[in-house]
Amino acid sequence: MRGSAWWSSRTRDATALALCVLPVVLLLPGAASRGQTALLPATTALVAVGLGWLGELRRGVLVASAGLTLTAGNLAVIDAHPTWAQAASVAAPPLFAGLAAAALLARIPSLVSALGGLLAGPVRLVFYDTFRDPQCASCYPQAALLLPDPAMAKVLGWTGAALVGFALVLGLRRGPHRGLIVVALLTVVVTASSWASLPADGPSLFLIVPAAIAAGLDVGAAIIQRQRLAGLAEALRTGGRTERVLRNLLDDPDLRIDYRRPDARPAVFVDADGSASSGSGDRVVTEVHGPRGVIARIHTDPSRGSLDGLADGLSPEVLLGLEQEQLSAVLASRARELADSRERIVRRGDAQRRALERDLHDGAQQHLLALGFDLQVALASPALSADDRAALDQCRSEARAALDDLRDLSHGLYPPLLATSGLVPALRALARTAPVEVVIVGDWGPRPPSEVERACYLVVADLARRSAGSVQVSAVRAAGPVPSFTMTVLGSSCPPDRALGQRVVALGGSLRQSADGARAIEVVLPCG
Amino acid sequence: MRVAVLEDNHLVRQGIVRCLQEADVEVVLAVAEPAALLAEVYAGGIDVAMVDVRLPPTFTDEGLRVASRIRSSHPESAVLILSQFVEPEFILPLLSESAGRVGYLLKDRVLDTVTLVDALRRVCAGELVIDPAIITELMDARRPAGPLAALSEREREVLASVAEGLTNSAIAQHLFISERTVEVHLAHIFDKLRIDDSARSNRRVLAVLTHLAAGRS
Repeated sequence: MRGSAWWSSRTRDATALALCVLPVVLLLPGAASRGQTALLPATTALVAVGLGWLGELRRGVLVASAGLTLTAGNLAVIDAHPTWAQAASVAAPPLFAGLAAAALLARIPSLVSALGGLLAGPVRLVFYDTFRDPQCASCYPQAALLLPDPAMAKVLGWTGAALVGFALVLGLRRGPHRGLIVVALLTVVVTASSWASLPADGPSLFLIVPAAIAAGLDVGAAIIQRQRLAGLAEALRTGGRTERVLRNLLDDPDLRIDYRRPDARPAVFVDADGSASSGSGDRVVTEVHGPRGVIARIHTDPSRGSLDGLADGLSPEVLLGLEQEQLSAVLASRARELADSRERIVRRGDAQRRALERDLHDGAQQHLLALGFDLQVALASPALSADDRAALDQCRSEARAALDDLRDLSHGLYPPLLATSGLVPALRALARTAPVEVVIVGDWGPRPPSEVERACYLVVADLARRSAGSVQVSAVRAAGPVPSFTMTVLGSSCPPDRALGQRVVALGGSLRQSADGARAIEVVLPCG
Repeated sequence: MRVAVLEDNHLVRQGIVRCLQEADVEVVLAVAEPAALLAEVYAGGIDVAMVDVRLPPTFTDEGLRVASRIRSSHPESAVLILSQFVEPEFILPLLSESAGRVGYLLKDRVLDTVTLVDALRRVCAGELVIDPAIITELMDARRPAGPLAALSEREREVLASVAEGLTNSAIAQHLFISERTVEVHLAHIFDKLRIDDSARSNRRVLAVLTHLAAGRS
């Protein structure tokens, strides 16, 4: 698989390089005659057409066909007389040059390149008068002659060449085919400079070079993609997820596939493990379509080029495999949502109990206290009768009893020590009132999150209530990619409570009894 | 005796102040913000600060931290913590860092004027004062084989009084026995629980409380 990637890039570059350099060589003094100069690109374009068809690449065919047509046209009009045909043969090549360069580039540089071709081609021709060109000994008798102005024609020619060159430089900074762009750039420079020293049929080079580049490029790309497709089907047959197979095939270790959830509108994409897709950033996104719309998206490195050909040419087996992956990703995503909502419920429940405890403390308890203080002040009045005093005293006793009840109630809702001081002090307080001895050992480290503390507290409270003998509690915090809090209760004679087990699982942890008969119960909870 | 009250609930603050005034205690300041209290303590105008445990902004244990600051920065001012919680863990850290002049009372103890004034007077005199409910919680031996099972009924009464911060003479008065008898009981208790009783009275309270809170013999 790596072999094919090596072959593809080397072959692509070498082919295009040969096709680009050849016309430049022919520009040298004493080179073949003009007819031969035009014949060579025509031949290469012809080869490109054939290879392009083999590779089923529309763009390659388009570019090469245009090159062939224009080259043939150029050859034809050299000895032809209609002035419109000659004018077209001068106007079209530079325009085509810009467009052909555009085929190599991303959207913005290709627009700039096309504009450059327009300036150096048709617009330049408005000002170009072959008779006033001292270099033009064997030019066409008449081209356009609308506004004869050699200086303006020269400016336009150079501007156009500069724009095409600029676009190519832009393409150099990002995007694929860097080596080819450098070659194309060199060719544009050589061609433009040739206008100063050679007969004015130089523009035909504009035709030759990009056509050759584009053709070579696309032929190479076609071959690579055919190989990739063959490799993909083969790799998928031997097993493995499409993402991993594509990473190897395309030599792109950061390649990522996310899958569409068909039940979500607007479209939601999830990763294979069901987590929400992190978006594409500056990566190239290729959508894979199935019978019922988009199945997945492939995110690739922009320098690897587009995968359109790959995505369109996927076999039914590969599509089926992708659909299966989509299905399991969607299932994982739903399971994740479910787990999230369970965790939220537990957290919400804990938070509400804390809020309730606080409300009781700040509300009812304070009002009862204030009532008690009022009664106290009233009792101090010397004007009270003995009966009134007894009645008020009774009220005060009942207010205190109510306060005691409320205190017990709020402690049961959420032990205040657990909220303020943490798990270890809360467990110590629990140990004092527990029916069996509860020994807390070891260094528990920094406090874990409150939901972890409450879950652990409830587990110990439950075991201390149901155990026959004394229990020993210890805990350890583990760092690592997923930090966790592990609490071990030794000596418990009973299995952990199921409802508490569900609470722990809902928080993403586990609660289990050791199988080795050590009468140990272990709670593991994530505490990120 | 100049007393300041730090309590965020308006009704309760007013109630405490009225109860104190009813008992002829001079209240020089009643505020909801720690900053105002601390300023007055630093100015030297306060003998006892009564501090609520739960205060804004987190409503957890700000009051304990205020108390700790007062005790560390201004040791001649006493602190009486008022709380709704029967939690010995709240008070033990503060006790261990203060040699005395610290108390912990449940808020409804304010309704009992005699106990309240007695507590204020005792913390002012440099003693430790622990709410009897805390001691009951600590001594509540629900386990038959608990650490206090070895003590006699009388010895447990004496131990509870020690834990509340009472001196030997106060214990003698309280239990209607002679000081000499108290000392004999104490010797037995400390021997049975293996507590070092050579420490001064406040250290003795701490040792007993720590022993009880640890929950083992």
